[in-house]
Amino acid sequence: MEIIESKEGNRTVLRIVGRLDTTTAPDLDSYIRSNQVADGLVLDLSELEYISSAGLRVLLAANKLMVNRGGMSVRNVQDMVMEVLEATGFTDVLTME
Amino acid sequence: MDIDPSKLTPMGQLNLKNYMEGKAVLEKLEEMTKDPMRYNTEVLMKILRDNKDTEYGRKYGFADIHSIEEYQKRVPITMYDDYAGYIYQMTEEGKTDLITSYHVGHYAKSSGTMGNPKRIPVSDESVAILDRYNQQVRTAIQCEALGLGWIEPPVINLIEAPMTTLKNGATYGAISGRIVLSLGEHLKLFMTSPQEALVPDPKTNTRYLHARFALMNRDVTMVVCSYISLTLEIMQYIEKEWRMLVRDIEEGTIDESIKMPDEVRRSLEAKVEPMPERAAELRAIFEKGFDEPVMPRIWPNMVIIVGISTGGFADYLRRLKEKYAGEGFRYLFPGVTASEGLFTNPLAMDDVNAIVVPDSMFYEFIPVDTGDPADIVTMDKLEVGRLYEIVATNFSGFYRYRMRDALKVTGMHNSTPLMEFQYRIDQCLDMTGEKTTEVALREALERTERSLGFDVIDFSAYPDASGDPLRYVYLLEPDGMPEGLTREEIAEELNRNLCDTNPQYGYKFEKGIFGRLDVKYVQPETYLLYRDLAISKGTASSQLKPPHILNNEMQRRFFLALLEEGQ
Repeated sequence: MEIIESKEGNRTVLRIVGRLDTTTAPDLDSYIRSNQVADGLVLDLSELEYISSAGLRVLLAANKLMVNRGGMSVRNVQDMVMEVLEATGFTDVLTME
Repeated sequence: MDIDPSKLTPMGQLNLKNYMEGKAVLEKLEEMTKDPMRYNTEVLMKILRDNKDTEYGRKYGFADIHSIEEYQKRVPITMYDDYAGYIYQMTEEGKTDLITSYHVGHYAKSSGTMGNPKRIPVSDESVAILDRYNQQVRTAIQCEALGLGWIEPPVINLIEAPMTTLKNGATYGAISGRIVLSLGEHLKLFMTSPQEALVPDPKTNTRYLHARFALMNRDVTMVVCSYISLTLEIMQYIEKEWRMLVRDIEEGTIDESIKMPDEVRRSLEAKVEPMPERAAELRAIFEKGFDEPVMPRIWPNMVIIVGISTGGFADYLRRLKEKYAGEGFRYLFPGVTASEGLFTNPLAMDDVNAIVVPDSMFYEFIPVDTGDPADIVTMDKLEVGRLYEIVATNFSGFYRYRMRDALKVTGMHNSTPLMEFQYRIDQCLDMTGEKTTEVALREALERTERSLGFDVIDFSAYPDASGDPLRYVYLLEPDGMPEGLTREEIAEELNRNLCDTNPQYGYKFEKGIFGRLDVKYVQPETYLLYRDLAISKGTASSQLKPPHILNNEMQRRFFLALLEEGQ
């Protein structure tokens, strides 16, 4: 998995490339926490090919973490990942752009 | 008694007071067990008398009922929907004297994992009964068995009490939380966990708080949780995160990665100081690994663990003992308490049997095997070994209310039945009348784990009617599988064992009505995700039950979306 960071105004945009699974989810978790994103976070999932339970737990944790830090939203979700988000009820929990 | 009460802390004094008062209640309970129908009939008559002028009481003529038989003739058997309209008027419009004349200061949020939670009225009378048995009697049982060495705090309390206030001013939250809050100011005197974990902000990581503040305190004597799975979960968290926890204890910090609102963090940071000695002690324990049970070394004074460990929770207790607790602790299994009231209470430590409490409510029972309300009986007619559904008439406005819980009569104490919770009646797999309960599913899995030498984090099962013949599907989150063991082999063995644990299923499998069950693996952390998601949607952690039977489409979609790849 690769994480590509950019800025959109004050917001941090993280483009996640590859797979978010048991092996890679801790890396995204550490990245978000250690970079102390403070003014909003956007996760661009246009190149995310796969997400597992461990990856979803990281999204859930990040979503909570960002509540008082400008919020978190998700965009450009590929169909296969979107199916997982819908089936697990994450589309009700996450803000989709 | 070789103890000077004046030298006890306020919580020690409260425990001592509960012991003395609990002893008297325990003696009264023992007396009642000799003639339970007399006391239970008195309870019914009191409820009818006190509520004769309510709307419900007038509708069914409570004033003219003078016997159990008259009551059964006049008052219908009910379900929640029969009260929903009244409860709406009570909570939203502040109306009183509809179903109960007693003051209702609390509404219990029933534990629906995915469905809409109900609002179950809990009157002050019911709270008093809960307090009498949950605190006084249980304290007395512990003192009688263990002496007074444990009565001083601190206690690891894992029961959280998130509460909201309804329009009518009553509190609304899990009944377990309401019981804990009854301790009021005493809470902070005996709990290791801070207030921020007891009444948590939904964005706070309470797992960290419970674990960290518990580890800080070497003198812990007891763990109290609603379900024993919570204690196991905290110990698993400690095993995984001990380096971070110990570092925080050493430095008096709260790791930046721990989720909580800023104001909560500030409040907690003011409560922690560096504890280098305790941190060194813990580090030495954890660096030796987790092959031997660590709880007795972390908390050398610990003697008691209190938590529900029957039914679907038995396996969590086994795993807690094997992995973390060892065999040295004593256990108090709290009996059956629901939002609707207290049904059974333990009589002794380490005993999963609990006795029906004759003065808690009026009981009727429908045999589960027939499920026919025409077969309803009172407690003097129960048969040992048979399963029954409780039909409750309580002190909070429910009359002849079907609980939908299956309890087994495990024996008798004097003339009063001992009962053990088995499963939720609506929570079974029933495609052709075979009624496969959670107990049967779990036992079949446990036998299979033992014979094939593997372990699972958790499991679920669901009925699959998409093909011919019908079949069940087990979902397993593996906790390490032996090399070469296939899902096919597990499915074969599991199917064989399920034929034994539910002979009705076995019969129908032999006849070809059912095909062999299937086994699928879910991804690592799926059950943790399920819990985290439910908690993020507002379910109290103390109410979360393992989703062992998937009967609704929402749950099924969740787990099927998280299968291991290639299935």
